[in-house]
Amino acid sequence: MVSEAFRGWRAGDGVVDPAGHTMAAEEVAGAETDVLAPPTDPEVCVGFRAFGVRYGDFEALKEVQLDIRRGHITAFMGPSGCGKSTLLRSINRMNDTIPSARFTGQVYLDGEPIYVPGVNIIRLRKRVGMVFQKPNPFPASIFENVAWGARVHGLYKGHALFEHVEKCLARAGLWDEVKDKLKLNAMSLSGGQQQRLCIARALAVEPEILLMDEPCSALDPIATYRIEELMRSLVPDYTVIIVTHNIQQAARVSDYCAFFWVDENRCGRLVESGPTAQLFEAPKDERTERYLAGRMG
Amino acid sequence: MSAGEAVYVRPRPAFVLSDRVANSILAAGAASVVGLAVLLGVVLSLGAAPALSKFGAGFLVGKTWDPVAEHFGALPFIYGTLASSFLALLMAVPVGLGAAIFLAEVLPQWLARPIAFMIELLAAVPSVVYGMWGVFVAVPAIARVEEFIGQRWGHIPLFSGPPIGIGMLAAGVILAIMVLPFIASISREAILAVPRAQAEAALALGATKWETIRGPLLRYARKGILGGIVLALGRALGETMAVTMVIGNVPQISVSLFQSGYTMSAVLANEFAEATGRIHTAALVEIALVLLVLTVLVNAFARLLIWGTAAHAGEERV
Ligand SMILES: Nc1ncnc2c1ncn2[C@@H]1O[C@H](COP(=O)(O)OP(=O)(O)OP(=O)(O)O)[C@@H](O)[C@H]1O
Ligand SMILES: [Mg+2]
Repeated sequence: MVSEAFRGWRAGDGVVDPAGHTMAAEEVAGAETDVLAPPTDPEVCVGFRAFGVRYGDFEALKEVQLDIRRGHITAFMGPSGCGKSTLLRSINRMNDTIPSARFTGQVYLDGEPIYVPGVNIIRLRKRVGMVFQKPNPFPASIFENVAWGARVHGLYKGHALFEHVEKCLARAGLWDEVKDKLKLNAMSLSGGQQQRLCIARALAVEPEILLMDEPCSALDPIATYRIEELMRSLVPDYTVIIVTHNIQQAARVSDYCAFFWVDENRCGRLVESGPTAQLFEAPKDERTERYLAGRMG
Repeated sequence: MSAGEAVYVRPRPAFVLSDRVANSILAAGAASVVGLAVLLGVVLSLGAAPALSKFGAGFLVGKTWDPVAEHFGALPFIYGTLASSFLALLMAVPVGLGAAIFLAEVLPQWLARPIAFMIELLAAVPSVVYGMWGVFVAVPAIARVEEFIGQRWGHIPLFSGPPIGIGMLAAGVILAIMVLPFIASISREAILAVPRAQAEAALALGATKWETIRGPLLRYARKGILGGIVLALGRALGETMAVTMVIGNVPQISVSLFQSGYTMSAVLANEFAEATGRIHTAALVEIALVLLVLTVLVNAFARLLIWGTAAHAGEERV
C-alpha cells in the first residue's frame, strides 16, 4: 500500500507517450537516472522535470515529472492547496513576483529550459498567456483592453491593430456582442463577457500556450458553457492548460488530465496523469478514484 | 388586455425610533456645515459691500493697489496666487508622483513604509517653519540659480529681473515643497490600492514592470492621484505665511519668474491689522471673498474633472 502510493510520486510516472498511454515508471528508460533530461518528443510542449516550488520554508510542490502535449487541453485537478495554481504559474514564471518563491528542477518549453539565467521573461510571457480566476479587465475601453498587450509588444499599428483586435474578440466569441460598443468601459460588461474579454486580451499578444486558472469558477453555468466551448475552439491552434475543481468540466473539455494530491506535509504531489478518458475510467491510484467518485456525486 | 394597469407604490419605511433620532442628529450636523459656509459668504459679502459698490467688477481687473489714494484693484494678487500655485504644482506633481511610484512599486515595503511616514510628517510642519527655511536656505540658493540663468538667458522675459532669490520662483519652490507630501503620500496610497490582479494581468501579457506601472496601474489609480493633486492645489492657493516670507510682496504682474509678486492671502496677512480706511478694509474683505470663491471654484472644477473621468470611463455604477 505504501509502496503503491510511492509509485505514483516516482519520477517518470507522469510521462505520457505519443500514443497517449501513461507509461509505467520502469518503462521510461533512463528516467530514474536522469530526471532532468529535456523531453525529446516534439509533441511535448511543456515538460516539468523534478520540479518543485517552495514558499519560504514551506514546500508547496515537489518532484513533479509531467509532459504536456501540444495542441490539446490538459486539466490540472486535485484538492485545494495541492499546488495546481503554483504549477500553472510556474510555466509563465508568474511565481517570480512572489519574493519568497524558490524553485528546483526544471521546466522545458519546446525543449528549452526556462529556469535558467538569462531567460527573457518578457518573451516567455508573450508566448504563454494567462487567464485568471476572477475576470480582471483593465479599467479602460473594450478596445483598449485587447489592444494594450499588442501595442506593448509593438505587434500592430493603426488599422492593422483594429483588425487584430476584431480578430481576437471574434476568436474569443465576443465580437458580435461588443462590436457596437468598443469604446465602452470593460468594467460594465457582465462577468462572463469580462472573462471572454480577458481571453481575447491574452490572445492579442499571439501566445502559443494559454494558462487558465479556474477560469469559470466565478461564472454562472451558461457563461461557463460558453467559455468551455471557446476553449474547445482554441485547440489545436493553442495548447491550453486549465486548473479546475469541477470534475465534470475536466471531463467535458480536457484531452489529458493530471491529478495532484497533498502528502502528510501538505506538500503537493503529482499522483497520476494521462488521457482524460483513461484517467476517468480506470484511475490507477485509489485517491484519484475516490476523488473522482466523490466529486461526481 | 390585462385586468388593469398595475399600480406601483413606494414601500413606507419602517418606523424605528433610534434611526429617526440618529438621522436627525446627522442632518443637524450636515446642515450646520452648509450653514457655516453660507454664513461665511454672507458675512464676507457684507464686509466687502463698500468696496463692491465702489469698484464693481473693476476690482477684479484693476491693477493698482494704492491704500493712500484709496484705489484698489485685486488682479496682481489673483495673478500672484494662481501663478505661484500653478508653478508649485508644475514642480510638485512630477516629483511627488515619481516619489509615490518609487515608494509603492520599487522600494521594498519595509523600507518604503517608514519613508512614507516621514513624508507624511512633512505635511504637519507649520508653514512658518517652511518660510524660515525658505528665507535662510532656499532663497540664497535660488539667487545663485537665478544669477546663473540670468547671465545666459536673461533676455528671455521669463528669466529677466534681479537675481535676488526673493520672488515668484521662490514662492513656487516653497509651495511645491509644502504640497509635495500630499501628492506623494496620497498617490502612493492610490497606487498601493490597485488590485494585484491588475498588475498580474499586465505582467502576464509580457509587459515590463515599467509598462505595467505606466499603463494599468496609474490608470487604475488616477482618481486617487487627481484627488491628491486637488488637495495640494487647495493648500497652495490658501497658503499664507511661507509665501509671504519669500514672494517679495510687491503688487505687480510680471511674466518673469525672478520678479516679486504678491498673493491674496499674503496681502490679507500683511495689511489687515493696519488697515484704517473703511474702503481699505472693505477691499481686503473682498479679496478674502474672491479667495473663497476661487478656492470653491477650483475644487468644484477638480470634482467635475474626477467625476468626468469616472463617467467617461463608465466605471462608477451607482
Ligand atoms: N504566495 C504564497 N506564499 C506562501 N504560500 C503560498 C503562496 N501561494 C500559495 N501558497 C501555498 O502553496 C500551496 C499551494 O497553493 P496553490 O495556490 O498552488 O494551490 P491550489 O492547488 O491552486 O489550491 P486551490 O485549489 O485552492 O486554488 C498552498 O498550501 C498555499 O497555502
Ligand atoms: Mg489555485
